[in-house]
Amino acid sequence: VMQSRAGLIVSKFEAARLLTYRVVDQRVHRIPDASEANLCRVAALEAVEDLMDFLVQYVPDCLTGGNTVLEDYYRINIPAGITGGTNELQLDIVARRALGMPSST
Amino acid sequence: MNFQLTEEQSALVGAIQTILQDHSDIPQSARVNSFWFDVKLQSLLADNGYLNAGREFGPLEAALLVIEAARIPAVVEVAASALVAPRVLGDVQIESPVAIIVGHQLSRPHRNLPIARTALVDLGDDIAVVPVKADNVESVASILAYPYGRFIRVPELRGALRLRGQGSKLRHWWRVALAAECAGAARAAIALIVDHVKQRHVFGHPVAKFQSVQHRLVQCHMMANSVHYLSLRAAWSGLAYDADVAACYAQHHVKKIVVDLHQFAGAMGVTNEFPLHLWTYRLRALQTESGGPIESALDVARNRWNAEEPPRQTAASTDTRTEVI
Repeated sequence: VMQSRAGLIVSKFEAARLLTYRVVDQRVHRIPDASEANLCRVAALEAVEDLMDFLVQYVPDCLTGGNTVLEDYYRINIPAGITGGTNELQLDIVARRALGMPSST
Repeated sequence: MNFQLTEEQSALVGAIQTILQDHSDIPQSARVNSFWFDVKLQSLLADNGYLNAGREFGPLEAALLVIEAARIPAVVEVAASALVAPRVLGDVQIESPVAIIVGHQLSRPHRNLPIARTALVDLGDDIAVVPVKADNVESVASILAYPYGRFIRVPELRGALRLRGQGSKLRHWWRVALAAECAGAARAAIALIVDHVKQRHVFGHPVAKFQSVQHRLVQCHMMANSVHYLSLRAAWSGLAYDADVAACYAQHHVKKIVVDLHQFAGAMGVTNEFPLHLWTYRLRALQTESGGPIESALDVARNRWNAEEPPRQTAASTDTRTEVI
């Protein structure tokens, strides 16, 4: 179970990495950004939240002095869905710009 | 890594889009079926050389075609013929359409078997290439949106062409193909539902105006985009690790995409008249193939941490050894 969860988390980070590279590629080619940067934030948050949950479930000692790198990773990412525009803002922007949804009620 | 298609790739995608556009509808008489196999389109793609894209261009171009073909409501078999077969067969020519079958489950129903002319049978280490005779296959009714069928008499594998040591390569490219097919089907299904929620009104507003709906559809959109690029990366790199990642991500997220899209289609979404099932029940079929999400996730983990480095199995490698046993 632990290995399959770890494999899934890796695949989520790979997805977020690829969507982020795509944003960089768009900048390099001077392609106007529809909302790809917002979309890669959404993908990254899903991966980060899964990894934080994994750390707590399978290596909880890392949060009590067992591993400072992992503890720092956890602490830094506690506000990952808030900083730089909340996850809800990212979702709103993509809904509007990429999917052509109307302003929400 | 280059995210922009070359001129040649753009032309290839544009050309198949033009053909698919003419086949983007299904006949009225087939509207309530769980799937519709477009025989004419299958022949058209074969006759015009699209199923040879994997040989004439490469796996990335073949994956682009798989994604495009998965976006139409009708079923055509492109993934196994154009993407998988050229990678594992080398110069061996076979008749399409192609079904991919797990060797120790020969008597079970198999996807695409009723339309297949050739089956690639995964025997673990090896592959058996088995011609499929129509009179030896019986169709099996299923809610899954592909033709399913089982052999009436289980084929004799001893006389079949056997590709030694190609089993892992078959499973590798099967994963790339199923991820690409998931990407196309998911994108088409999401487009259908985005359009639906913009037009359907509840409580005096279009459904699309509700933030709870918007956010879940954006998450589906993100997942479909991720599968799209992960599958193309896997086709481009030829690495088994990339194939495992693409399949793992695709198969894991099928549940979320299928559940949310049917939720936002409301009662219409549980009827066969509404075409959503033609894509979502393809996704459900693909979700369990080539080991399913658990096995692909385990392979990602094994590749990532147990192996010294990801296997360098390149797309160009076609060192196929063949023999008849």
